[in-house]
Amino acid sequence: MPEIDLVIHTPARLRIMSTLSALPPRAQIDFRTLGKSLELTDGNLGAHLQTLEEAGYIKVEKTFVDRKPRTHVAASAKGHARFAEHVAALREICRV
Amino acid sequence: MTTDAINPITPEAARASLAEIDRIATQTRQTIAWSCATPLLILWGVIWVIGFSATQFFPSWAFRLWIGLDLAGILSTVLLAGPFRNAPIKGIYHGLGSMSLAWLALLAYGALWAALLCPWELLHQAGWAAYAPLVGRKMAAFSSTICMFGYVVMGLWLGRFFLWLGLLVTATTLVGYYFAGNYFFLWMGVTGGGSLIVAGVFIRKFWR
Repeated sequence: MPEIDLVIHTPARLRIMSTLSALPPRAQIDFRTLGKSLELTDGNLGAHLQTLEEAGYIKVEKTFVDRKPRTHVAASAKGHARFAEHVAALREICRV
Repeated sequence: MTTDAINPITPEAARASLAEIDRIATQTRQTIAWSCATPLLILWGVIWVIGFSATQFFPSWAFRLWIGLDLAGILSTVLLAGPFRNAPIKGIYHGLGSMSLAWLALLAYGALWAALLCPWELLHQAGWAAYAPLVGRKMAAFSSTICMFGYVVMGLWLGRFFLWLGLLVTATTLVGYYFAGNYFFLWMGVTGGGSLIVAGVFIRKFWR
């Protein structure tokens, strides 16, 4: 029986995981783009990403491009699996 | 973390969450499509239309024209893809460098095989015009299917859309090669180039 994941179910984190799960395999999304597309401030997004990273659901990569720091985010294998389970649990609830 | 027994999620809330998930997924795919595939597919589709049409109607210019078109295409690809280095979504091509190197390797091997298989010395001795129609058809089919092989392989990573695109254009190439007769090059321009353009426009407008 799939279970709801309360880490993911928070509205902002649900949208973050939805975005990351829709990326092709091995793709990563830029921090700023993620925040802009989800209409989250940098601080707000950063806090949610920290929670997801601590849960092991995402991977955060910090690099430099043209000497400017860039942060890219992707869902981890655990994050993909838990998100899929969360979606399955939501569908089960809808069937009730 | 498990379901909160005190405040269970209602079916209405679950439906709203699922709708939001779908909306976000659609938005993300559109972002990817805009940033990556559309301009390159349309660019090379246009090159194929121009190149093959010119080969059909101006065969004596075909060789030089294709060299120019391919160089322009590669340069344009690099210019279009340059911003991908700072792209908002990276890793779509395993990092642009890896995908570019893979395509370069494929095209390099394609050129090598063409040089090995095509009897250039015989052509030169017998006179190009005597063999051009036959060899031109073979080379056109060969180079086109080499490119489509690249799309098929790319599709294994990026999604079935590119895999089916590669298979479709391969199939139309073979149909044209065996059945289009003297209009093979025009067939390639319309079906091959047209397919690439339509694929690019389709992704831009309809990818959900």
